[in-house]
Amino acid sequence: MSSSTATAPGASELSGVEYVFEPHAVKLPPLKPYLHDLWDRRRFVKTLARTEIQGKRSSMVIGQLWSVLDPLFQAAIYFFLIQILRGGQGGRGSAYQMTLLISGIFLFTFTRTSLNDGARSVIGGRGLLLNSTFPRALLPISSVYKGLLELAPAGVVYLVIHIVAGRPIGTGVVFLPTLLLLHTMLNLGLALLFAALTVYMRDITQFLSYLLRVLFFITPILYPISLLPPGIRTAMAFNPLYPVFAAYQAVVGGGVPTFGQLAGSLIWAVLFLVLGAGLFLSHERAFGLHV
Amino acid sequence: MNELSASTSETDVLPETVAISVENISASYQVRREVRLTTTLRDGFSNFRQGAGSTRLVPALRGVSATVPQGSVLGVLGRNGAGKSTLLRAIAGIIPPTAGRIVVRGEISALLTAGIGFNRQLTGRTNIELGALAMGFPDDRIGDLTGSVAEFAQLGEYIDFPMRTYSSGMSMRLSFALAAHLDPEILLIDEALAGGDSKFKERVAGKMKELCSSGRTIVLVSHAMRVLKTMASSCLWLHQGKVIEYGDPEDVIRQYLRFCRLEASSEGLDDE
Repeated sequence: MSSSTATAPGASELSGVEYVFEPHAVKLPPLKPYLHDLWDRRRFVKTLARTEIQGKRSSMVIGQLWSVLDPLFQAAIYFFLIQILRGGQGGRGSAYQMTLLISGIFLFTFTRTSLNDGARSVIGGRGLLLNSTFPRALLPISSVYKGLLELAPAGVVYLVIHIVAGRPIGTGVVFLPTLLLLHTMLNLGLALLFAALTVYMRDITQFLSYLLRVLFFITPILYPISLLPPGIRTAMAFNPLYPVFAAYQAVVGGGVPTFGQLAGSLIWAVLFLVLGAGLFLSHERAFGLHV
Repeated sequence: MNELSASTSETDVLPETVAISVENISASYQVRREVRLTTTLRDGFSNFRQGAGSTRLVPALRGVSATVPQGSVLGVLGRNGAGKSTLLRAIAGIIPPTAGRIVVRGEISALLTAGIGFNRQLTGRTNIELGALAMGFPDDRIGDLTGSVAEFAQLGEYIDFPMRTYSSGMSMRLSFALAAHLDPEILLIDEALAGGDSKFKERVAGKMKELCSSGRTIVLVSHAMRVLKTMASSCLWLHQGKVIEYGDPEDVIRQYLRFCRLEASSEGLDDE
């Protein structure tokens, strides 16, 4: 035992690192060493995300099962609701409608997890934060990674549904990795932004549930964008989730995303990542005072 | 000692053998005044305008200085709320000082408070893993680390139980074991020795001596005067965020105890 310390007979092993702590100013830390520190601790992200999935449910398998079942139940409820509103004339369009709904809800769940867990990640990590020094961005990053982990089995389930429903797979699928990357960047930006805001304003977590509900309805999940009048479609471009979800919808429908959708996804992803990371990194040194 | 000679070329005012230099630091917390649940919107609005929900600055440290040589133990004592924990957090870089400067030479291990317990729903093993990974402990040594920590803390099968099932003594043993086994150059301990039986205290003392003799530096906050007397090379007495006395442990402790008797108060006097 105690192998780690017993091997150091003299002071010769000391690392020679030096830290200087001075009054906090709102400014970014040097990015290269920060990113290096994050990369060094990537296993923390994996371990935290995995244990959080296991955490509430007793096992990883059941945990992941629920993360698929829950969106599926939601999709079923909305599907029936839509059928009722349409007066039961499901017919030919209903398989298409169902694939849109299920894929949309799976993908929105990724954003929901990133935002909800991300916003709580720093204040929830109080015990660790007050007792050790580490790049604080590890906490919201873990939330987004958790969302990705839950999305993976959902993707497999969706693929099966897509095939069973007899929906075509178009050339648009080549855009999926890009869309997923942009979506992840957007979620990460949102998670960092809201994690930092929540440190200063706890009420944000309450407000988030309303924000997410609004986002859910103004994002093309329950309806194909073709149903939207042109005016509304233009207005919706101001919803950061709109372009990427519209692009997903195009791919799910067997088509190809438009240039506008791809450009919009990129702009929102970069904008929020810069905004979120900027706010988070420039304030994280003071988090210890507020959590 | 090749490390020391290698760094002489640096232009630095600090002597090479100083591990921690606390230079006239002050620190304050922003404390949110509690906002009452307001029944009407108008109340809420007027509260807001009067700044009822605003934050207040509570000073925790005022102009504290200390120098800790490499391989020594600084004992910090003082009553509750004297700023001891704030000092440790400032040294660890967890909270920034509002004035002054702290220079720390060497890697700091997780600062210890009454328990690491990142998430008490998780097992001791997972908490060890998460704590170590956050501190940047190498992945491939995590398994060994968990083993040594569990053995040192004598947790037995409890290592795989959620931490909420632990007694406070067990949490403290786990905390100390983890911090000591992270191979820190500087170890910060906050009252972690209060729990635990005498046998464990002996093991802790042994471990601390071992760390010191290998050039590690320790800052120890404790209410247990006997621990401070036997372990500390120097002592710092904080009162309301200010240094009252700093120097030889015997002297500082004697004066502190006299002060406490004068105050006719036994709180914070935990000298079993």
